[in-house]
Amino acid sequence: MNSKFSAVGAMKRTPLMQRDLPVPYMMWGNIPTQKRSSRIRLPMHPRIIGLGATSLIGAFATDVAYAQSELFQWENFSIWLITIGLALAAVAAVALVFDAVRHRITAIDWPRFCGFSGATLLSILNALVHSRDAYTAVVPQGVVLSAIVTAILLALGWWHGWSVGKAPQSSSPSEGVRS
Amino acid sequence: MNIQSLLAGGALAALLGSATGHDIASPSTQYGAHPVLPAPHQYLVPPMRVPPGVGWAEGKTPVVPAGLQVQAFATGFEHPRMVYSLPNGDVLVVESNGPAAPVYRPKDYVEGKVKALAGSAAPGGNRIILLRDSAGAGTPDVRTVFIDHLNAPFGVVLVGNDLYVADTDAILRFSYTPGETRITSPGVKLTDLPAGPIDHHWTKSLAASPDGSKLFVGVGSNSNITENGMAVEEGRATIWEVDRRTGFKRIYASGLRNPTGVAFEPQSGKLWAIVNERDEIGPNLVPDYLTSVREGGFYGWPYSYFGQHVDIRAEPQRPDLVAKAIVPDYALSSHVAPLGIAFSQASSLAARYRGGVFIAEHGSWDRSPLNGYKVVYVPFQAGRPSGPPQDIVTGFLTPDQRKSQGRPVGLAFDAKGALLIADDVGNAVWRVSARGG
Repeated sequence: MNSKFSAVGAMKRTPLMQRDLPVPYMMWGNIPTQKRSSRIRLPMHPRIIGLGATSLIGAFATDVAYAQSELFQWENFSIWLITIGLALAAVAAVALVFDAVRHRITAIDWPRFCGFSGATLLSILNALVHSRDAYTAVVPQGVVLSAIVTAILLALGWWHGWSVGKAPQSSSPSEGVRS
Repeated sequence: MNIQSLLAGGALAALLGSATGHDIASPSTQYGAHPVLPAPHQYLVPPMRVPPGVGWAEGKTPVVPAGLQVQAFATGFEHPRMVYSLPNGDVLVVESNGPAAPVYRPKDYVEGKVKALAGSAAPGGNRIILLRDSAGAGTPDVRTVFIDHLNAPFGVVLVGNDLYVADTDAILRFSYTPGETRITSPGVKLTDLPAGPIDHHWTKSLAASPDGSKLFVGVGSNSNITENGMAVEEGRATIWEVDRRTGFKRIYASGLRNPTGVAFEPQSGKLWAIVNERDEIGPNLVPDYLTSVREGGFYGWPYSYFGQHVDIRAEPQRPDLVAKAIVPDYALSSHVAPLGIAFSQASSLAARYRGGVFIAEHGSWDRSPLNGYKVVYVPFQAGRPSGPPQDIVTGFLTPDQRKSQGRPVGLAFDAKGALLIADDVGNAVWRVSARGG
């Protein structure tokens, strides 16, 4: 089991006292071995981005349902799904900061970050469009924006999941014992 | 109101208000039979400006032109919306507000907060207050709760000894004995009115035909422009004709988005209405209007406005209805929110204010700069409007237009011909009379 993940193996060799340092001390950036907890924790933000993306993609589905049926309740579903998606985007941003501070990621993948951020900005615009009354809340701008957001999210998610960071697994096994 | 709410108002205005206000044509281009109608816009954030309602400081009053005077007839009400004069000179004041609006969309929540800032969320008394000025002093010496425990009442009309009150969900009939100051017997329901779980435009305006046989009820739409679906618009955006004896009712005219006032023009005996038109397609769209009401007439909502100007938000469209939409008689300009109507009588105010109609404009939220917040007079000749509206009672806004001290709603003439104005932000009833009269 230990040999399967080299990074885990590397940390097994760190002295007990360093592993169990309190959080503020662990945030000191100049002692690399003290940044790692005793086992690798997965970053938080991808789980939240995944939930938010599901909401925003769902809004495209309900937009299509509205455009085809002209039943107002589909439009109400859309604006709530977009609102939930945006709220989760805000939570994901906080989670991303948390992941960076706690070294659950080692670097930001900027193209993916920009992709998700772009989808968020377009969804803010889309929420305003969806706050119009009746038909023009969805057709044509609303459903087009939902389609663009859906395409961005599906492409990013299909390609590399919901993370915008580089995970610690990919770092060199020697990093933990450099000091 | 405190400094926080002012700051909140300013922040909201800055956040939500689009950059408008310099290139908007004057309201005067939208008075009368041929208003200038710009092209409609679909906004990301509609133009919005909401002056916080702060009430009147001690000694402050609205402003009237030379020859007239204004004074507080009575104060300390709970959201007074309507005034009505009884034949013996007693004045009824309807204290009311609508039911809490449900939050169907995030927008409903935001909109509720914005409108609350303007004073629209203050709880109504759900009752009618009687005021009696026995000495003719210009202020009442008797003040009683005339009818209590009503349900968002608005319209009131007396026919013979039957007093009709239009609650938001029904017309009630009360037996009235001249001179009495309190009615305790429960009202008898004459007929139900469309209310329901949304009740977006909740006021039910009321007038009796000149012969007293029919009641006419203005019933507003259940949405701005059908965003709650057409099913909830059944029987709404219409004027109902109700038989006074049987309660049998039928739709007299339709396509009137929110007919907040109905009244009979005394010379011609014809029914007129003030109507609040749709929002969120521009600061100068759509003008609210005053119109004679044709039996069986269709006035456009939701499919079109001012005749054949199609509103693309109402789907599926109805070209057949658009084709027969009647152009209203007289535009009052956009978003003024006319809520009170009173045709002047032989004794009203001064000679130059006779023969026409007074209209209370509650004031705009969907427009910057603001519009309305005043009482105007529209002169009539031969039963038709004959000139632009004249400002009669102004000064409801502070001079810098940042706050509202009051907002006019219901209008009535008292026994001496003075104009009474219900003010639901100032919680007062104002009395405008001829100076020295």
